[in-house]
Amino acid sequence: MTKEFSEENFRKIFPFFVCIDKNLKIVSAGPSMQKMIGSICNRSFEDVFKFVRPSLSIEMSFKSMIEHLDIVIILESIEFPLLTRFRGQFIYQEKEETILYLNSPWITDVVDLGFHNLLISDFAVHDTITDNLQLLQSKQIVNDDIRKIADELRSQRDELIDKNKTISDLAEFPEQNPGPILRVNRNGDVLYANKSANELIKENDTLNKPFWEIVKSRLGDIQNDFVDLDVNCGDQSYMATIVPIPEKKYFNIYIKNTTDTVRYQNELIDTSTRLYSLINNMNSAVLAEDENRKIILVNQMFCDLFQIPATPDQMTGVDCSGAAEQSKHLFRDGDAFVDRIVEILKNRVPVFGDLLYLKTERILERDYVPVFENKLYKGHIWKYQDITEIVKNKESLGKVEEKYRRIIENLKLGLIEVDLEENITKVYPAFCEMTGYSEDELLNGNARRLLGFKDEEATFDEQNALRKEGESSVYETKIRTKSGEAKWLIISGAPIFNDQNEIVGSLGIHVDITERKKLEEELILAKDIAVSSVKAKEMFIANMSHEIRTPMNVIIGMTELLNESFLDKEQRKYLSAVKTSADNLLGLINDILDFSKIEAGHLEMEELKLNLNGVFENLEVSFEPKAREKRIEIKAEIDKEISLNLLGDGYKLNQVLVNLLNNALKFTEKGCVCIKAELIEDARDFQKIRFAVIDSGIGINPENLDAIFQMFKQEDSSITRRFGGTGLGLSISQRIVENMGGKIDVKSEKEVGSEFSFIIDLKKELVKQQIMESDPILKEKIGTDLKILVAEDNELNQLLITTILKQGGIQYDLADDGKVVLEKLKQQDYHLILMDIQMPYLDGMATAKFIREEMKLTIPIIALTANASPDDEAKYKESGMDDYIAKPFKKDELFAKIYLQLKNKVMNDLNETTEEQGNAGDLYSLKNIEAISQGDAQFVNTIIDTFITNTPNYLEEIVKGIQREDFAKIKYASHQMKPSLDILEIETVRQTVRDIETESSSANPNIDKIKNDFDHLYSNVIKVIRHMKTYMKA
Amino acid sequence: MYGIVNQAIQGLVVENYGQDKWNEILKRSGIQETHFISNESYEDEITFELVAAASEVLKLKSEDVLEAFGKYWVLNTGYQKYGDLMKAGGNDFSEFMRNLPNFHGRIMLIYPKLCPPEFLIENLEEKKIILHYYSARSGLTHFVFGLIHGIAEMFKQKIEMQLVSSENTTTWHDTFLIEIID
Repeated sequence: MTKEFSEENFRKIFPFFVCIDKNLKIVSAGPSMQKMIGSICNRSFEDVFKFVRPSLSIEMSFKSMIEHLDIVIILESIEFPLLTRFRGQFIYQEKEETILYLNSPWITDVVDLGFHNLLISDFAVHDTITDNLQLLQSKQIVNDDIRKIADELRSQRDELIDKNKTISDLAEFPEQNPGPILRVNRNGDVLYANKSANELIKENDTLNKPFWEIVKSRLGDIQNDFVDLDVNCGDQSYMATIVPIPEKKYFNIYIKNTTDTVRYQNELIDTSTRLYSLINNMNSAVLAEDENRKIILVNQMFCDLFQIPATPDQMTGVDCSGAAEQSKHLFRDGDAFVDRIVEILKNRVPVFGDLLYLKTERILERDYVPVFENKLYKGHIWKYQDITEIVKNKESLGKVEEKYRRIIENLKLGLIEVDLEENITKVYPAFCEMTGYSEDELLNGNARRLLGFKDEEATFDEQNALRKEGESSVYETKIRTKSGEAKWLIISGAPIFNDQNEIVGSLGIHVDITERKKLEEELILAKDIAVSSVKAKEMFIANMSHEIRTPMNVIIGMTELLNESFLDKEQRKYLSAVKTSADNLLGLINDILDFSKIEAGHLEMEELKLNLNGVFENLEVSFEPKAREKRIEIKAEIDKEISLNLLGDGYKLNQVLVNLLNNALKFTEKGCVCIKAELIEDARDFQKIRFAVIDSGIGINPENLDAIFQMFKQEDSSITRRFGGTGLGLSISQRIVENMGGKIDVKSEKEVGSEFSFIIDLKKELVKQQIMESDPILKEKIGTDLKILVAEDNELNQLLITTILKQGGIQYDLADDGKVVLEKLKQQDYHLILMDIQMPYLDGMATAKFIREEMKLTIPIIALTANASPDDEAKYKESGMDDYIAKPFKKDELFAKIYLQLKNKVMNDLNETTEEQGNAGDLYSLKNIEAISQGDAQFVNTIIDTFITNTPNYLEEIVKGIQREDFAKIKYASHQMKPSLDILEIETVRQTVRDIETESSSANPNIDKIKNDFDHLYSNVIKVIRHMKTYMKA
Repeated sequence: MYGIVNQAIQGLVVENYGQDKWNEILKRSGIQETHFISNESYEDEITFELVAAASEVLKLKSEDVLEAFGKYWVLNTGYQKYGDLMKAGGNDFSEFMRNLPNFHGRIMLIYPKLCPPEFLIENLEEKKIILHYYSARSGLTHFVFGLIHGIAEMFKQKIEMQLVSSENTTTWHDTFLIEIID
């Protein structure tokens, strides 16, 4: 059945065949094969191909090939290895002794077709290679499709995830809503409740019940539109919006807590009610219109004012657009009224204070306020107020103001107002006239810069400060006018306050006092001249009287000497006349001198210790001879209650009393003259004493009583002729007494007698002052707070001591025994201790010892003891006490001891600080004593011991003397000290002690000088004693 | 028809008019499919409905849609997916046309459910080809127009093509005269 193919058909069927002979030479090849690997005919098979499969079992030989006829043979082009492979089989043609290799190229990818430049038509039509390639390709395409779908699915999945998340987020939406959301079916069963709704339902049963009842009752009615329900539960209010969802057959319910809203609404209603009521009751006509000029609100007053026959309620909603036209007849200029309203409404800006004049002569003030809400015009408010009365009042006030302004102008008062920086804010014409500036030049100018003088800066500063503190004041200053001329002004300045009561400036009223000032200056000049002339006069009188007195003394002295010489009767008579005249003249001169002092205001009162007993004794003694001469009795009576420690000007008092006594004696021919001092009042600090001089003389006519105190006047001229005198005495006395705070009073009866009296207060001298005040060093160191610790167990003694201390104004503390003393000393400081020796628990000596040795205190201690033998004294001193005083002691003694100890302590302290003690040895010398002793040391010691023992006693005596102004005592003690100071050659005080002695024995001893000298004496002597004690110990 | 055809319509619309238009076309055609797999067989109606819907949505004649689709099928779908295979179809337009009948014969084997059209080529002269198109389906004449113009464009060959005759008996038979223009 096989038919041989024609070569052409064979080539169509096997376009890739290769035919080889037994020498392995390629004898022919298919056209497509040659297209792939080129012309291979006549080439050796083994040069062109190699076996790929089988590769091990086959050899490159014809024979081996024949042995491999029924298996797949895969060949590879040697020229194009790997890329060009063929799959086929060997067919052995015995007859021709050739082998046919029938094959197709092994192509796995359609791309390879192009690589080998093969077309489909190069393959046999039956060959499925290209179909397979297409199949592969389509599988590839399907894979791509699937991959694409898979990608899309992935992306859709991602989208789904995203959307899921969005959906789940959205699902949270109602849960996150703070307001309760419910979903119920038509029966009211809850299908869904968000968190907030659940809480609400759970917490609040009261909500559940009424709420559901209302909701259920309404569900049946609700069809398509939602319904808002207001539900009140307890104190809370809710609004439920029920939204029917018919297709789902349920309702969504959105609940909102409206408690606050309801409250605000209520408050709003209240507020608007109040507002409405306020507007209704306002004393102004008010009209509120909306943006379309419909009335929102109007009050009764408005209806009344515009004669509208309706109530405010009826007016609400009425259109006002034609209202102006309707009411224009009420106004004087109706057209202007309408035009203005049109203009205001067009501008829509607030207008205040438009004045409208009614035909009824009333005046209205109109305000317009547009109302904007979020910049949107919502209407406006009109306010009309009848201000007729106010305008009238203002007009009359203006007239009043004008009147006062004119008055002020006429008064020539310059008024300005300045702010806090002194800038002028208001100025009145008179001030312009005063300063020469125009109003424009002054306004806004700085008052100080424009008008002030440099030397008046301080005044301006001071006044400005006062104004800022809200204070008014009147002051004088000078200002500079525009022309540069100085003008003196008296300025009344007052602060100006604003509505908030804050100071905003000041008002100054200026009066020109330049002329007055000139007069004043002239007056001052005149006064100065007068004063200096008076002074010159005084000087003149003082000098003259001195100049006259000196020769007068000579005349009187010589007259007395002459009187003691031998004279005949006639001569003696003349001489007596000379003496009388000279005495009178001297009296006159003295009076003139006193008077000139009084006139010059030089009458200074001294406050010295005043011993009235002494004064009276002296007066009695000095007038006694004269009285005896006139056979008149003279009596001095002094009240025993009058203190011996009074302070006053004894000299002046003496002068007055002498004058009064002189007069009394002068005008008394018989009977007696009596001088009296009588205690009227005994106060704590002073005594009121009445002094009187009573005579039984000629008396004075009542009508002349006033005249006798006038200068240079006597009762009448006959008196002068009869009794002499200058007529100055009483006048001078009166001035002196007036200076002492009293007034001389006179009672007199003609031919019976006269009584001249006066009452004055004399200060009591406090003993503490005696001690402290008299000593400047003590005063400085201790001051006025002297405090003493009194250690005394006996109550009577306590009373005695404390009474004395109280009298002296000294503070004290009491201690019953030594233990208490020590405790008190720990608690506070004292200046001195008065220590009783016999006390329970711890006696005085043990206490003193403890104070000195344990507490190391140097406080002065004075022992109070009944035992005062020299042995005891030594024991006290040994225990550390500084001094002792024997009971019973006198007040003066106690104070003197206290004074000395305090003084001693102060001086010691001073010396310690100044370290002068080292030089105390130079203050004295033992040379004289040693010379006298001739080597007897015992003698020297005795002398020194005597000095140490006796000297403090003398010092004490002097202190006592100073306190009592007992100069005899001072003189005695100082005299006693002299020899020891001389023998020890204490040069620093040898003269001092003599000065004290001299001064105290003088007629008019100066106590201050004595005190000063004593201080010097004391401090030096104490130094010497201390040094001597050290010397003795050595 | 295989999914690859519908894919081609989808590709044509999406590339030229956008995804939205394609969605609209899908929606209008009432077709539920969103993805077509190349060698999965789909009802012919799907293809026709897509073409009809595209015609309505894009406001084009269905003939134009088919022609455009034919062209797109060759130049995009065919060339993108079977490029190398198509290249192996011939070195120029004439050669390709000559191989065209064989080409389609083989396709049937690859796509067993496919009922591919049959082509027959007659060479009148060197530059004139008579193309016979036989198909079990009717109404794809303009698709063939598009296909042939697409092949010409692939080989950058200018041609003129006209329908010479159309017979509708048991099978659809169109005869085209194709003139190759230099």
